[in-house]
Amino acid sequence: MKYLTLILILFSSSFLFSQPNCNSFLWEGDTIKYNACKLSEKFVDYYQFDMRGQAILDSCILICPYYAWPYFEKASTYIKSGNFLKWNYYINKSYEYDPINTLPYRASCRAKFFADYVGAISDINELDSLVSFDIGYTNGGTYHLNVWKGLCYKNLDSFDIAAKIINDHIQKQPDAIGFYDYLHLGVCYQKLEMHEQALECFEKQINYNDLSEIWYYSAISFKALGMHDEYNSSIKKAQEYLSNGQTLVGGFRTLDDEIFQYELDQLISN
Amino acid sequence: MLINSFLENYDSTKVKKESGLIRIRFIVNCHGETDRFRIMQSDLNYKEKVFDKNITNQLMAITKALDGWGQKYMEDGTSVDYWQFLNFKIVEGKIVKILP
Repeated sequence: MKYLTLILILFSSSFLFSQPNCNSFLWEGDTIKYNACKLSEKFVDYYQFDMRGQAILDSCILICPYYAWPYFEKASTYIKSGNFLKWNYYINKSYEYDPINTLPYRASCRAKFFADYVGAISDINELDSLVSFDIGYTNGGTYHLNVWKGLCYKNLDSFDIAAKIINDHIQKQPDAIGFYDYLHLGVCYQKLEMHEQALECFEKQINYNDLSEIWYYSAISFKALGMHDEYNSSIKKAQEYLSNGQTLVGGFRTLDDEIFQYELDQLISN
Repeated sequence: MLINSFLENYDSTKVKKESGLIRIRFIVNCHGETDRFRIMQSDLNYKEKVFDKNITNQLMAITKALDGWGQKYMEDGTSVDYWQFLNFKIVEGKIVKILP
């Protein structure tokens, strides 16, 4: 698990829109972008919400209005404060000048923060059409963008499409299976009332991350199949893990299929 | 549970059937009390708009009534204020999602 974490972090960071090497712009013969880039290096000296840092980004934009990175950084600041109007303005400017580096982040944020699943799917499809290499991960690195697209379909209640996309990803890239991919795939099968397939996925998920959610959703499938002993033991384990904090962890937000005590209590009482 | 507070108290039958995003941001002080509520509104294409007051007033009233916010501490144990925000996706006057 530790190795998987390390690999995912390394992979995800390689697809993030990191500050470029300014010398690459000199090599391209673009001294205007080079000058803006050199100035942007000073941004890292400040806390992201410090107006002095934001002023540096504004100056970079003044120097080189077609340099995407400062727009991207400003968008990143605004979304953390919930200002989606300014986020949308800046992320679209970043997209205008560097779509390949912007689309993974915009697709991630559209779904995460605004439930704009159609917009996120459109971004991922566009990225796929623009690059010949692997499309990479969401900005947090938790999900491959293929799986993220599947989760968007899941949120649109298109469980069959979601299951196919996530399953295809797992089959095609067995070395890039994410922390929670099998859990989400299992929940898709469960929504389609394919409980045997759902339980197979939940069992596989244990090898990646043994979580309260696995046992909660397993309990639902066992109940549907009339397997009462398995249902009871799953409920017990779900409660034990939930009490120990062994659950999905999102940090900034509630994750898809994350459960709380309320959901477990509801299942037990029904 | 936070989501239930909105599902139980928000009445979509008495509002215009509008769609878009509404963000309510507020501060939670070092005692876990809320204040300085600010609202931002857009359509579903992130373009600024003003919603029917019956929608925004309800969301604001329910948000203000929420309690149980946690306290944040610095490494030295000093409690600090922090900003919190909720994004509401509204479709046809109904709350379809509360994020993040």
